[in-house]
Amino acid sequence: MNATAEVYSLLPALIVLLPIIGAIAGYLVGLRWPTGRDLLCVFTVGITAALTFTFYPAISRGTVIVGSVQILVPLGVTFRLDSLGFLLTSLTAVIWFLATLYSLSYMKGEHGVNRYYAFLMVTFSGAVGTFMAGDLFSFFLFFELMSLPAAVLVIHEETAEAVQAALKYLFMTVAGSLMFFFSMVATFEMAGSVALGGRGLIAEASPVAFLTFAGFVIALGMKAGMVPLHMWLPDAHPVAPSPASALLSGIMIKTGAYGMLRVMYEVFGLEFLQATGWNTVVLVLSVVTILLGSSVAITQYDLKRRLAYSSIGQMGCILLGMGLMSERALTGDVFYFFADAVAKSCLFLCAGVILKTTGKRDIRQFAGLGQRLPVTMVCFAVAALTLMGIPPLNGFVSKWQLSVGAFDAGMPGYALALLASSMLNAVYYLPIVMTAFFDHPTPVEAAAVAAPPTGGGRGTRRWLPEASATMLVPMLVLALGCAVFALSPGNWPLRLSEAAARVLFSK
Amino acid sequence: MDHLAVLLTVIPLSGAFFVPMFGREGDRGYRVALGTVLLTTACAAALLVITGRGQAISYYVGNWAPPWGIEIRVDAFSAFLSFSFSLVYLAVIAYSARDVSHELNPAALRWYWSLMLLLLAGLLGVSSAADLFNLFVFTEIYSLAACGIISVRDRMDSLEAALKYLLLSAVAAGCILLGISLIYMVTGHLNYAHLATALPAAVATSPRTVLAAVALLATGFGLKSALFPLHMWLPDAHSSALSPASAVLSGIAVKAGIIALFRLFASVLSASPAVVRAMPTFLAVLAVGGMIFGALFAMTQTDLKRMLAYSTVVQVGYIYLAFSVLNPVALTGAILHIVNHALLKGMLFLSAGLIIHRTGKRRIADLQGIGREMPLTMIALTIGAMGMVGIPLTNGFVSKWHMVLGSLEAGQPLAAGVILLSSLFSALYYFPLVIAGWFGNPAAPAPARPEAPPSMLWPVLGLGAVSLILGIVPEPVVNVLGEAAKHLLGQ
Repeated sequence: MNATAEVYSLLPALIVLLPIIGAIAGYLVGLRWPTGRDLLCVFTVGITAALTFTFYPAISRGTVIVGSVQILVPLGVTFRLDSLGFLLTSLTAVIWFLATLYSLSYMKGEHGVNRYYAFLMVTFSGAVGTFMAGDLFSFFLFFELMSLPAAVLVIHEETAEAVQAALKYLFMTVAGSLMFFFSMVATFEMAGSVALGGRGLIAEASPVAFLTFAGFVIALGMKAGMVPLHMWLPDAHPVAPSPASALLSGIMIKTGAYGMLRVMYEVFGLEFLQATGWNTVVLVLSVVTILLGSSVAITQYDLKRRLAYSSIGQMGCILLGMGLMSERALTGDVFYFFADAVAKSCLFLCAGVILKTTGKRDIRQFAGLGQRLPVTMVCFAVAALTLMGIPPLNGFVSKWQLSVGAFDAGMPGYALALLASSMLNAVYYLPIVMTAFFDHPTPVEAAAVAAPPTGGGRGTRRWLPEASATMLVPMLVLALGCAVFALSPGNWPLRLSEAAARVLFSK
Repeated sequence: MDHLAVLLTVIPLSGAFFVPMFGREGDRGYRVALGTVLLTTACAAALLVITGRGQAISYYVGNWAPPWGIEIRVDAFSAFLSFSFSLVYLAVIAYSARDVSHELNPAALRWYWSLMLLLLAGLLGVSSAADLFNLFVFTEIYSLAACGIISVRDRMDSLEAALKYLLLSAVAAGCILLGISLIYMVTGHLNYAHLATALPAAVATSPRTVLAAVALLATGFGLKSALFPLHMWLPDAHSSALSPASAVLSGIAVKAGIIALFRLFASVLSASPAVVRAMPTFLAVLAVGGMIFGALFAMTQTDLKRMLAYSTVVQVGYIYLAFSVLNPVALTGAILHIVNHALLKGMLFLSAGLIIHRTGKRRIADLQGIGREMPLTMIALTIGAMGMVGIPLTNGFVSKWHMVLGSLEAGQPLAAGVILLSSLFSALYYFPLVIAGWFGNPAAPAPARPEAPPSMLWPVLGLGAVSLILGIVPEPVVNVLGEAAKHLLGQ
């Protein structure tokens, strides 16, 4: 094992704690002073995001940040932040910051805003905690801290549909967390430890070990929207308010895939899985996920539902990447986390603007939106092209690395699945963009389009006609993020991905 | 200090006697009851401090040593249970002051306080008895007191439930007494320690008699603790009683049978290999049955209190199942779950009582949007529900962790699987309640109703706080119980 430098720091604990304090303070402040709450929330998430970036110098030197707090239940909470964890933590913090910013205008005038922000922040704490967890037990705690409060975001509209979706979400989440719990306890029982960051905890293949592996795959696959367990996702993600959908689809489902990555490489270990061939389970399921998620997306005409199914398809690619077990595929895979998170949250934020300003969810009515909402639709187009894997964008880099990795691993057949994913993405994203920019609206629709926008902030219309600045800036930043990190020289996400893959393999 | 061991039962017993004497006027009955329970709690706390260091107190009543005299034995296990039971009792008594006075006439009210204290005396007696005969006496005391508490509310369904409980209790008492007689017949002893030494010889000479006795005892105490399929009395009894009484009956009284069986098994029956082979398997099968059928019944209930009562059947199954794997870690989880369930179910029944007290609603379907009117009550209900499912940071998680870990350690992944499946079932009947309470839309716009008065609310929230503290810093408690569990299993 390589001797990696470790630095002890309790900053991760602070990063997790800060949003929770912010949630409580924000809730109390918001009872009297909504503007103060808005500022407090943006400020707290911003500070937390800034704090995560203070790790960058240490992480870029290959140092691992560790920390532990001896509270809570049998094992205590430990943190361990390596390049993989750092990439996802900082990504989460930034996207969360943008989504919170976006919420300021989006949620203005909605009901239950106070509750919304409080749960947004608690979920944030859980999400960053999940990416910084140093052992399975802490991972589980933060995973729950994220998953359960997220139900309140899903149920936000309080319609019958939302309640149904939230109940489905809750039941599946609880079922998943029980599976995880079983596997975690079984790992503890077999290995005597649940610490992450090693070469593998479980040494010998036994029926119980396989049950453990299956439990992890089911629990984490459920969160990641892996196909036979994805049923909650297309219901839960679209009913949430758009910024929450962006986070659910952009970040939260990634925690499932992230957990899977850790489980495969650090709980079971590379050699173990190669020897037993259990990774085939993940490979097969991921191909099914890609094909089914993408195909069903084509049949959806509700924009947010189509995006939700598209998320399932993208998660298939991510799961495929980790099942291939080659270093290059893993680099592409980690970068895929990044590319998909940025693009998918951008798409959901765009969908939010479309919904807010025109009230339209059905993509067949999008004719003429390109003229009406030019900035939004350009951002949408960029993000969609990224997910298709069109060359100068992020998605291309990850898909390229993944495909090359498939050849490295001697399984070129899986590259075909990635190709199919790109093509299907094109089939369901391009028509939206084409309709928006090139179709002529019918006279009735044209009249509706010509009407002044109803949403957005007061007074901002003079210089930005579509929506307020706090909604447009996050979208623009994310759209830019899709483009600049592709082949530019200072590509720190890619370098971190490479470092992460190297670390996972060198062990 | 040794006198504390006997004071633990003497204090509530004399309290039960003094309430009718002094508590004739106003709320004096309440004050006497509260004072008595406070004293009992202090006594239990002192015992916990003493026995927590690992020494048990054996007290010979009147200085007559066994086998002639009566022995009262308090170890960490019984001290911890006594302390947590008194704590729950404290909350329930404090809560009762306002709730019960609406429901009962003054004459019945006095009996209520007296019976509650008698019930406590019986329960603490069961956990500290060191011979079979005292065990039987205290079992009868608490059963009759429970029967009285159910019927004190002068209503048809309560009387019917009380009668059902009384009849089945009589059957249970018959079984227990017969079992004790058989054991006495073959060994000539009643004291646990003496029995443990005499039993192997008795097993050798008359194995069938011993097995029959064990079966009778298991049946009797199983019935008392609503072990499936002997649980039929429980949903009626616990749902028709007054809410604070339900909290005590469901949270604590049901556990007395479990405690008696644990204790008997640990100090007496484990000396006989035949029993060790037969009894846990027998209990495990019934426990799984209770967990599955209890959950199925709980899902179909429309009445909140009946649903909570069926959930108790499930939780009793948990405890028996964790016990049956005979592993110290799982047993730690089981003991912890006895306490956790007492706290959680006590809190749940009291919150249900708050809702019934303020709105008169007890059908689950009517609880839509109740959280808007009574947010604090709903918070308590939510904590209770999360604890029952075993979400991290609640005490339910800690006991589940130990039960599952112990089952796997003992090489019984199936038991672990059943425990987890049952948690999922709990989610299926608790979460819709929570979601509807917070997010549902009330059928009719309810008049602005303030939250229940603080004197009723703080006991409920106090129980919730204790549950959360036990969930967040379980370390000290788990350490004490770990030792107690090892001791119980003779390791």
